Amino acid sequence: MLRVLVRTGSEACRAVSTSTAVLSVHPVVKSEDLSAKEIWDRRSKLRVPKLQKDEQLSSKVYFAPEWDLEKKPNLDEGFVNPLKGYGMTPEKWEYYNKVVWPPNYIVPETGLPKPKEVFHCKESVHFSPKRMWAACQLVWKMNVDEAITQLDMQQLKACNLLMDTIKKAKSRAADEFHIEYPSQMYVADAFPVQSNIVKGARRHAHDNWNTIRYRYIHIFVRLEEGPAPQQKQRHPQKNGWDHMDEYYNYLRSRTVKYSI
Amino acid sequence: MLGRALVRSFVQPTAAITTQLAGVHHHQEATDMKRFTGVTRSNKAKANRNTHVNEKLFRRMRGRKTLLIELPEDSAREKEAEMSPGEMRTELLKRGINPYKEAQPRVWNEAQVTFQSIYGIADPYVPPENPGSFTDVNNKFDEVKQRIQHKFYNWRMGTNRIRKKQGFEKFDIKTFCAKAEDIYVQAHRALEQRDKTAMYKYITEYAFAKMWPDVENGSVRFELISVLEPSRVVAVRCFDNPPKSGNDIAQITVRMHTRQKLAVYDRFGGLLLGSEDEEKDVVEYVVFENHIAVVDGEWRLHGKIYPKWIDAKQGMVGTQMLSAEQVEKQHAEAKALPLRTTEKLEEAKKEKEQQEI
Repeated sequence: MLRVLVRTGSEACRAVSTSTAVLSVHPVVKSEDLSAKEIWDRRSKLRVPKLQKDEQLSSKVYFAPEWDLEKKPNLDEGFVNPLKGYGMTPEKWEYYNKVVWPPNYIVPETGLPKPKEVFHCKESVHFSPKRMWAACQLVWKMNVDEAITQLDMQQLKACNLLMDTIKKAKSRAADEFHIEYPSQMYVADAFPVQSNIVKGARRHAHDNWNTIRYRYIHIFVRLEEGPAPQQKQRHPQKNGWDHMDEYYNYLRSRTVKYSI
Repeated sequence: MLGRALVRSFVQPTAAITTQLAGVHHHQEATDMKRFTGVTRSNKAKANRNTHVNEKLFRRMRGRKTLLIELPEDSAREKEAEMSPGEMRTELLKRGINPYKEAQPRVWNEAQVTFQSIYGIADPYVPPENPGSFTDVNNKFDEVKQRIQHKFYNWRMGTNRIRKKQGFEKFDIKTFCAKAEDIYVQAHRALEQRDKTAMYKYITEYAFAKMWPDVENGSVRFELISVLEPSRVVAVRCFDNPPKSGNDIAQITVRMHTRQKLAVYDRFGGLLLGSEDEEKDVVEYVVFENHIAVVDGEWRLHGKIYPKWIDAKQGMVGTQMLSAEQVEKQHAEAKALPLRTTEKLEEAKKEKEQQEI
C-alpha cells in the first residue's frame, strides 16, 4: 500500500520557522526529486568562505543530553587535564548519536531535510595510523556497498579492519537506528586517531638500545544517507575535455592589436 | 668455488654461520690478487652480495635482539562485550585468572529505589464495557461475581481507606475526574517539552522510565482537542509499600474517551507513528497514583492499562512518500484487472460470432 503525501505551503513555512535566525533561501523540496548533483551543489555553497562579521550563527534547535565536563577520561585525580582525551574520542563520537533533531526538520541553509547519519567507532586496534589513513582516503565519500567491495579487493590489513568497521556501522544503521535502506548511504567520514603507544626496545651494538613504538588507533566512521558526492575534493578535477575547451576559448578570445 | 666452499665447511664449521658468503664471479679475477682474495669488489655499486641468502641467516638473530613484551590485545573491550559468561570464564582461565575468586562483575548495577510509589499497577483488572449475554450461564455468573467483587474492593480497599488518611477526609471520586484530565494534559505537555522538573511533578518514576525514551531518542507531539465522554473512575485501590507498614499509596484508574492528535518522530525528525494533523478518538484507562501517607502528596500519572477483553491491535501498514518519477509510473502503467470475467466471456462470444459471419 502506497500513500501519496503532498507538502503544502503552510507546512513548509512551519518547518522553516523552527530556525528564526537564518531565513531559508531555497523553497522546500523533497530530497528524492532533486538529483545528486543539485543536492551537492546546494551543500557545497555552505563552504563558501565568509567574514566573521557577516556570519550568522544558527540557533540551537536540537536536543542533546548534558555533557559531563567534570568526568575525566582516565579517572585521574586532581583537576581536569585538557591534554588528556583531547581531539576525537569514542565517547565524543558516540555522543553525536544521541542528538535529537526537531520534527520535520529542514536545514535552513540548503532547504533539504536533515540526512540520517550513523556514527561508529572501532576502538583500540593495533595498527599504524598512517597506513590506516590511506585506506580511509580510499573509501572516503564513497557509497557503502562500493566501499566494502573496494576494501575487499585490497588484501591489506588496513582495508580488512576498515571493511569490518564499515560493515558493523551498516548493520548498526539497520538494526539500531532503523534506517530503511542502509545500502543508499555513503561514507561521509573515515579517519584514524592514535589512542595509545606501547614502548618496546631493541638491542643494538655497543650497549645501544632503541625504542620500538607499538601504536594503537581508534577508527572513526560516519555514514550518511543519500547519494555520494561525485568528487572527493572541493572542486571537480579538470579532465582533458575541460582543458581543450579552455584552450579553444583562449584561441577564440585573441584579438589583433591596433586593428582597423 | 665448489671445492673452496667444501673445504671451508669442513675446516671452519662455525664461520659458515656468521660469515657472509662471497665467491669469485669472474674468470679475470684470477689475475687480480686483491679481488681474488676478496679485499676489493668487482662491482662497487652493489652494496651487498647474496642479500637474500645472508638476510635469511641474520633475520632470526636480529629478531632475538628485540625485547619481547606482552602487548595489549586489539579491541579487547569489544570482544569482551560480546562474550557470553561461559566464554568469559574460559578466557579468564586462559589468562591464568580464577574467575570466581579474582574477577569482579563486569557491570556494576545501581538503581535508586523510592517508596513514594509502587513499581507497577496494583490491580490491572478492568470490567468489560459490554456485559456478557445471559445465555452463557457460567461465564455470566463469573462476570457478575467479578463486577460485584470489584466494586466492593473499590470501597473496602480504596475509598474507605483513603478517607482515613489525614488531608483526604473529604476525598470524592466525582471531583477527581476533572483533576485527572488536567494532570493528563500537563504530563504530556511536559513530556513534549522535555521538562524534567514538570515531569517529576506530574509523572511517577514508573511512568518516567517508560515515557522518557520516546523524547530521548525522538520527539513527541501531542494535543488534546476535546473530551468526548465525561471521564469515569473505574477502579480505586490503596496499598502500602512495604506491606503492612502504613506507607499508603493510592491508585485510581480513570476511563477517558478523548479526541487527540499524537505524532511520534524519530531522531532525525522523520514521522514514525501517528499524525500531527489528523484527529483520533481514543479510549484509555489511565492510572493515577498518590502517596497519601504524606499530607502534601499529589496525584501523578502512573501508567495505562490495556484490558484483556479488548480487540487486538492491527499491525502497522508501512507507507512511504512517492517521488515524482514513481507517481508518473503509477499513472502511466495500466494493468489488466482480473475482474470482469463475465464481460470478457461475452466479448469473446461476440468475436466468435463476427468471425462466423
